[in-house]
Amino acid sequence: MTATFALDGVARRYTVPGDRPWRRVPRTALDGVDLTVPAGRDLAIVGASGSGKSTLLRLLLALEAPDAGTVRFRGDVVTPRNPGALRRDVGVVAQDPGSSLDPRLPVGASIREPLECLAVPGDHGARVAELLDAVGLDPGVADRRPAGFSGGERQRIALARALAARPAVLVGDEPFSAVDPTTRGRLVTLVGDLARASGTQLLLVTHDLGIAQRLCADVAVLDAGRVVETGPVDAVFARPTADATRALLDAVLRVSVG
Amino acid sequence: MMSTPVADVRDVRIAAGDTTLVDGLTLTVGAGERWGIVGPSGAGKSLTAAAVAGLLPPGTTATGSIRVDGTELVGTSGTAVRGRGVALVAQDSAVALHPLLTIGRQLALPLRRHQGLDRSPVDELLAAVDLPPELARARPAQLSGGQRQRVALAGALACRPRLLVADEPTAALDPPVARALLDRLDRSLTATGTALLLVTHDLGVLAAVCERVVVLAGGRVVESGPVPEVLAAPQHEVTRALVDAAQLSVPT
Repeated sequence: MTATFALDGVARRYTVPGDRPWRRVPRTALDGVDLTVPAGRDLAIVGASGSGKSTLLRLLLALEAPDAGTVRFRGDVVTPRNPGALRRDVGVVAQDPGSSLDPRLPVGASIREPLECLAVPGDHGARVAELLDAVGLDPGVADRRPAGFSGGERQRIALARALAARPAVLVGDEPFSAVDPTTRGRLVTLVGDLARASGTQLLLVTHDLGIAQRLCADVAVLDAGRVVETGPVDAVFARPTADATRALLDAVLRVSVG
Repeated sequence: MMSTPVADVRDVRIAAGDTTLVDGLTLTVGAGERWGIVGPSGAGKSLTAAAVAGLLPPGTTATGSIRVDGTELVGTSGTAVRGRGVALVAQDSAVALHPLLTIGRQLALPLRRHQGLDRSPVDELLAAVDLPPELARARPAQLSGGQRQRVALAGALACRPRLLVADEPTAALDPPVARALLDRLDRSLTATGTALLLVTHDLGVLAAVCERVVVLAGGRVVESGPVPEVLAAPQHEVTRALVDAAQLSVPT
């Protein structure tokens, strides 16, 4: 079966601030990444800040082109100019629903937008109501604007929008980190349940190892622009082989409870 | 004889116009004690911390009594106690640090402002937070998030305050960097005998550095006590939800 994503020798370089406010120096964000994401296997991408997680995600979503190597989605090379089936078949939930939802649009219109852009057949109004219901919100809220919702509710709306066109893959870029911890657990469960019910493959970028393990079967560990370890999440966390994986596991702040 | 509490907060109400944001808050931080304030978003955690640091945002007013290092702050601008009495570390030092000043110059500022020193031991301040002396010549944009928070911590501790108020100091950091900063904070507080009032919504962060905790919800204290006891037997639903969230983030 064709892999959902296949990266071959992918490299990406940027410039970052230098020793004077007006100077910039080159930095390698990704340094020859080979990564295969088989169809149907939920994958968590973990790593410290600066390890290249966000760059990898922008390349996977064909928002940027690599400086070297290729990114394939279901066998086809994808680039920003030629994203192929990517835009239709991949839904994205960003970290901060406060900035990812258009503040001027009623939330129903935000959820409806991908249906219209992708010319999805069917009754869009009914689909919006169905989606709001699926993420645990009253369909009657469709005409309210994002400012009237809590952070957790806004992330539910972003989830509804990402799933609107029934994508084959749901990509989450730290989708839980800006959500209040008292509602985070329910949102994690919701994402897992909805993905399973609709057969959507999950690709989750996170620094929360507990959530990675609860939602995904596989994990890829990034360190200094390279994939240093991949495999089934339980096995990798139980017997890490890379120093970077051990450092991430050691950094988990454990709470002893009764 | 008991020493003066570092912070003595009595029946404080904080309001913005007619809206009450924090109500009936009472909290006593003894010398060298480490307190955490936890709770969901909008519970009033940051406002409480700001009030104790004498830095309430414009448009908000406090009533009741907030004594820091023996000085009443309610109705004053708080400048009398900042520096030696209380210092603040904010969540995101990318905005708290001046983008154009070198690290060395901004670390020298609080020393000059509060102690009138001509020459500042910037090297010592950097060394105390495990940063190399060369960093004094760098500007904030060249530093990582973790390095910036260390610089902010060094600046806050520069005048040896009796109380450090830290508002989500690790929220913008990834776990390994956060853990290192908390270890550094722990050692610095021990070395200087500084008390701590830490705002967080992460019980893992709380348990790493605090001995006692107040749980806020809807602007009121719903639970308080020693950290191990509160975590082992949470009484309020908000506390239970926070404990569940902390467990969720731990791989099995």
